[in-house]
Amino acid sequence: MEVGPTCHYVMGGVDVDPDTAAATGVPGLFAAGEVAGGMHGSNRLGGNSLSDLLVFGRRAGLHAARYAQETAASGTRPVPDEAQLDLAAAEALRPFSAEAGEPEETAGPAGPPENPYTLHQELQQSMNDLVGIIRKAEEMEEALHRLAGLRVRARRAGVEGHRQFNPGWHLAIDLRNMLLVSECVARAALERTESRGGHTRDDCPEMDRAWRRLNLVCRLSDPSGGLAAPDAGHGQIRLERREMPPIRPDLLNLFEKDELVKYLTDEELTQ
Amino acid sequence: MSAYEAHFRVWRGDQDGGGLKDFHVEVNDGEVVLDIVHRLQATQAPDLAVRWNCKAGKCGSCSAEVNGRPRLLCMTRMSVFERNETITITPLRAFPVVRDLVTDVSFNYTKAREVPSFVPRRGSVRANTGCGRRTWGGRRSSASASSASCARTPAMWCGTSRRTRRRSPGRGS
Ligand SMILES: Cc1cc2nc3c(=O)[nH]c(=O)nc-3n(C[C@H](O)[C@H](O)[C@H](O)COP(=O)(O)OP(=O)(O)OC[C@H]3O[C@@H](n4cnc5c(N)ncnc54)[C@H](O)[C@@H]3O)c2cc1C
Ligand code: SF4
Ligand code: FES
Repeated sequence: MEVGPTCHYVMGGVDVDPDTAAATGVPGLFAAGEVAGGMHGSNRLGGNSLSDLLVFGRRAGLHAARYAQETAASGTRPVPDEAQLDLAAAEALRPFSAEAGEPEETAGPAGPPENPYTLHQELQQSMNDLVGIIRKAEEMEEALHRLAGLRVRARRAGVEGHRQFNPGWHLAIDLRNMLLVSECVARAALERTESRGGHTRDDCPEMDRAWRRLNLVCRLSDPSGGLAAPDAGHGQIRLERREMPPIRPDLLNLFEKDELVKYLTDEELTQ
Repeated sequence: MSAYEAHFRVWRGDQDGGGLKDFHVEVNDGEVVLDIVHRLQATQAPDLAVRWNCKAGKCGSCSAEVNGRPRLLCMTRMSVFERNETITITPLRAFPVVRDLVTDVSFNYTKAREVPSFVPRRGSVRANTGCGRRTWGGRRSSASASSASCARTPAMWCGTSRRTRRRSPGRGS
C-alpha cells in the first residue's frame, strides 16, 4: 500500500473583504470557506473550517443577497461584456479543435495535441516534488520554469468525444486554472523568505517577524490574455506585498505577552 | 508482487443504449478499481465518464457495479480478484444512466432535502458532541439521510466527535 502525505487544506485563495466576503476586484463575487484566502493566517487551526463556514458563509450569503437586491433596485447591476463571454466560450471549446490547430492563436511552437491527463500528471509531480511540504528557492525556481513549459503545452490540450460528461474535457478546462494556482503558490512561496505555519523553507528555517504583517497578493498581469506568458520569470501573475492592519488591542490582551514575542514586531510589542 | 495486465470490460454508452468494451490495462501493487479506471482514461479512453471525489469511501460518488454487485470503486482492491479474472464494471442499475459509469443520483438529494434539519434541544449539553446520534434530540437527524450514496454524511470530519474528543481534547483536523 502506498502511504504518503497529502493536501489537507489550502490557506490561500480568493482575496475577500472579511466583513462582507466580497471578492476584491470582481463585483458581485462573494467567497466563503476554503476557497477564500487569508482568513486563517499561516495555518488553519484544527476544527476551524466548521466555524469559518458558519460565520463567513452567513456573511457571504447575506451580502450577496443585499448586493443583488440593491443593484437590481438601483439598476446598477453590472452587465457582462458579450465579447468576453464569447472569448471564454471559445477558450472552453478549444480542446475539441486542438487537432485542427489554430497557428495564429498558439503561443508556443506548434506541436501535436497534448493529452490533458499527461499534463495533469506532470503538473502534480512537479508541484509535489518542488513546491511540496519542505521548500527551497532553487526547487521553486525550477518549478516555475516547468510551469512555463506546461502552460505552452496546455494550450494544445486536446480531447475526444463530445460535451456530455466528458472528464477529459473537464480536465483540459481545469488545467488552465490549476496552472495559474500552481504559479501563485510557487511564486508566493519563493518570495516569502521565512518559515511560518504551513509554509516551511529549508533555506529559511526561521520565522521572520518582519514578514508577519505582510500578505502576498497575486494578480493576473494581463487579465485579457489567455494562457500565454511563456516567460518563466514573470509568468501570468504579478505579486504584491500588502501590509495587514495591526491586531486590535483588546484581542492582543487575550494572549500572554511572552507568547507574543515570538510573533510580533518590536513596534507592535511596544505599542 | 509486481505489475501485471488485467482484462477489464467497461460499459460505455448513455440513456439511448450502449455495451461492454474490452480493455487490457496495467495494474500495480496496492491499487483499487478506481485507479485502473483512471489509468484507462489517461491512456485509452480519455472521455470515459466516471464520477469520484473523496477516494476514501466517504462520499459515494464512485458507486458502480463490479462484476454485477454495487461497489465503491475507490474501496474495491484489485487484490481481491484473480490476476486472470475478467473484471466487469457497469453503472448502478438503481439509478438512470447519464453516461458510461455515471448515473443520475438526484433522487438522493431530493430525499436528503426531505429530512428535517437538526435543531438542538434547548439546554442540551450534548448538542455538539456527535454526528447524527439520538442524543441530539428526538429525531435521528442526518443518520437517517443515508441513501445509496452518502450525499451528506458528516461523520468523516466532525472535529468534535466523541472519539476525537476523548483522545485529544480540543483538536480537530
Ligand atoms: C481529509 C480531511 C479532513 C478534514 N477534517 C476536518 C476537521 O476535522 N475539521 C475541520 O474543521 N475541517 C476539516 N477539514 C477541512 C474542511 O473539511 C474543509 O475546509 C471544508 O469542508 C471546506 O468547505 P467548503 O464549503 O469551503 O468547500 P468544499 O466542501 O470543498 O466545497 C466546494 C464545493 O464546490 C463545488 N465546486 C467546485 N467547482 C465547482 C464548479 N466549477 N461549479 C460548481 N460547483 C463547484 C464542489 O463540488 C464542492 O461541493 C478536513 C479536510 C480534509 C481534506
Ligand atoms: S449508503 Fe451506506 S453503504 Fe453506502 S456509503 Fe453510505 S453508509 Fe456506506
Ligand atoms: S470517491 Fe468517494 S466514495 Fe469513492
